[in-house]
Amino acid sequence: MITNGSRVEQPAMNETSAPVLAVEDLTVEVPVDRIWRPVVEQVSFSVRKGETLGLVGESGSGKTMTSLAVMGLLSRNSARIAHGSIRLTGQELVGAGRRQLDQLRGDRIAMIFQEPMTSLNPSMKIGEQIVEAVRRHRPVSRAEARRRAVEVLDLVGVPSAASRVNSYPHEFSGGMRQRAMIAMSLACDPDVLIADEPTTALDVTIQAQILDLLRQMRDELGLALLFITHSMGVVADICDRVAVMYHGQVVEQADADDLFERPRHPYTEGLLRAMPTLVVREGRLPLIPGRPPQATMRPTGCAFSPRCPYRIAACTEVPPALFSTGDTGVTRCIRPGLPLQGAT
Amino acid sequence: MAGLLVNRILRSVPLVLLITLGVYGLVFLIPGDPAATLAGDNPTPEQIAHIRQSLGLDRPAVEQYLGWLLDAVRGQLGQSLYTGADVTGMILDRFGVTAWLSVLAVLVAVVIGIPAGVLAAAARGSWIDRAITVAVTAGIAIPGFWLGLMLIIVFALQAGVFPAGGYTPISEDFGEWLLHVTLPAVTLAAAPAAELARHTRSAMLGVLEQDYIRSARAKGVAEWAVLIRHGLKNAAGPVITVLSFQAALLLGGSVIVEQIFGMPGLGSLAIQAVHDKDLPVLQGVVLVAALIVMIINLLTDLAYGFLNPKVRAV
Repeated sequence: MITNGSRVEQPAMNETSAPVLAVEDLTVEVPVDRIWRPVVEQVSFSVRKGETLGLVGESGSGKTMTSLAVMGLLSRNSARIAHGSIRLTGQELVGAGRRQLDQLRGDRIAMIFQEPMTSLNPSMKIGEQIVEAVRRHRPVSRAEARRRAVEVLDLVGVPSAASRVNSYPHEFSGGMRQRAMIAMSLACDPDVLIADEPTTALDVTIQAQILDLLRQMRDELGLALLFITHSMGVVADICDRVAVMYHGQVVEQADADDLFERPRHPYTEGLLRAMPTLVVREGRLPLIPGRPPQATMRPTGCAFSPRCPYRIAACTEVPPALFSTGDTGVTRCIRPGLPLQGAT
Repeated sequence: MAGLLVNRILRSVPLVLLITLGVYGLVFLIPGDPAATLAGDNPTPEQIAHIRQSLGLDRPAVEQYLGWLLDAVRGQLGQSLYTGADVTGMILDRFGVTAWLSVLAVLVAVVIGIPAGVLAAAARGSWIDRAITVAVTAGIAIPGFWLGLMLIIVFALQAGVFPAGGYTPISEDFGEWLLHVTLPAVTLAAAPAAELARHTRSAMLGVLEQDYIRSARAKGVAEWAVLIRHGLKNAAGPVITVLSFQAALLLGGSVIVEQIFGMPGLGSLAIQAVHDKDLPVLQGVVLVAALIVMIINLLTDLAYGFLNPKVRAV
């Protein structure tokens, strides 16, 4: 039986107080014309056991950069963590060496990606790829690792898993590949799973199945799930808490229910209003006017102010700090009391 | 895999026949009449006719070809026009020299070229990458005959580590054999090693950007295993293609290297045969060379199948 040894020894965590993954004040920089410029700035969030945190934002908002930074997967020459802290059950990951990261990745923290079609090694059997992860982190025989591979494939709902372990990725459909990716990520029973737009490349019906599966795995295995998406619909479906990212910063963070009911940041309101619903409405979906600034440009004042319908003169003068809204929520808006409209 | 093998072998039969036709066609392409040449100075027409008859050159071309082909299938490649020696025997005597030289050269090229390519790709943009790129450019640009002569001057004549030429069969004395083949093998390996490094680097750079490489790192796989198991295996297709191409080219290169180092291989036999217009010998050598290239291609196809599960299904 494969269990996470360290987890057994630790006393049961206080689920309401101890986050499994805690990111604090994270700033990631990329080189632009040989000068390092921030693309992720002062991002803080935490995820508890059995909880799903949604990281929402449009393309280029820095959500994938943030997740890659957490996994230690930023490529050395094209991005760096300038400062901040990433702690996995108390263990600091910023500044950890490759060897230390390799011990944690795939074991305590795992990740699945947007493109199931290209995220599996095409020249390696599905089972082999899972066996590789298991044997990297557990001192078990090949046969035992294979049994584990069949077990997790079965767990994620791959039919006749015992024979499909011998298939190659090209013999799997897109949805099945994403299930195989999930199986691979869960093979060592991680504490944290990062899902980077795991349903974006899939058909709508398959999307729903994969979301169901992730929800089920989170509840059964007590995963802390960091779910990255651009879709408010997916957020509504799976997330307990939401961090909305704009231009490399978290602009609002709140419990999902609160956020949908009463957004505190004009950008969140815009995202909610742009959400298609099943109720047929006249005309087109409302858009957020304008475009986000280039990721590496630093506007003075609030980064969203050029597109914000509630802009006042003060908005363009100083970058807004985070304002607390209620128990757990924060908004990066100097007008946190605005009567913004939630999802209907 | 067995199906793939049978499939490829059956497919190569027509090609082999085409090659034999081309090889036999040499008789008619090369200017001059072997019978007249053999008859010596001031022959009478009767003498020439007699020689032509005894060699079977007066029979219809198709009949000559079929006769030669049937003999060739049985391993009989005829007799040398000059010494009367059995061509098959001559080739077998020489074959070992060229085969060992080529195998060793391929080995050296693979052992140097592929790791160099992987290293350059892994350390892209660093001084290691740049140094390897310079070495690759040199390896491709330097002609084999010049490199061979330089190696002789430095390592044979000045340092005296290796003999300047000649050959000792491996069955006689392994140490001597190794000393004799080292410089020729290095000479022969320089260009293919450079080509392999260049193509390995570019194939690896492409593969290392793939999503599954990131997946492997996300699993905590060690960097060397990411490079080899996930990287090189998927980059191997183009590398194998280049390797097979270079291995075939090596046969041509060995002609020159055998001359420089005075090695009694197939290359020097071919040159001698061309000088003498000794057609049966030339045909034999060309046929053997063509068959070797075919076998290399067959092995290449099998390697594709081994590396790429999608090919296997075909």
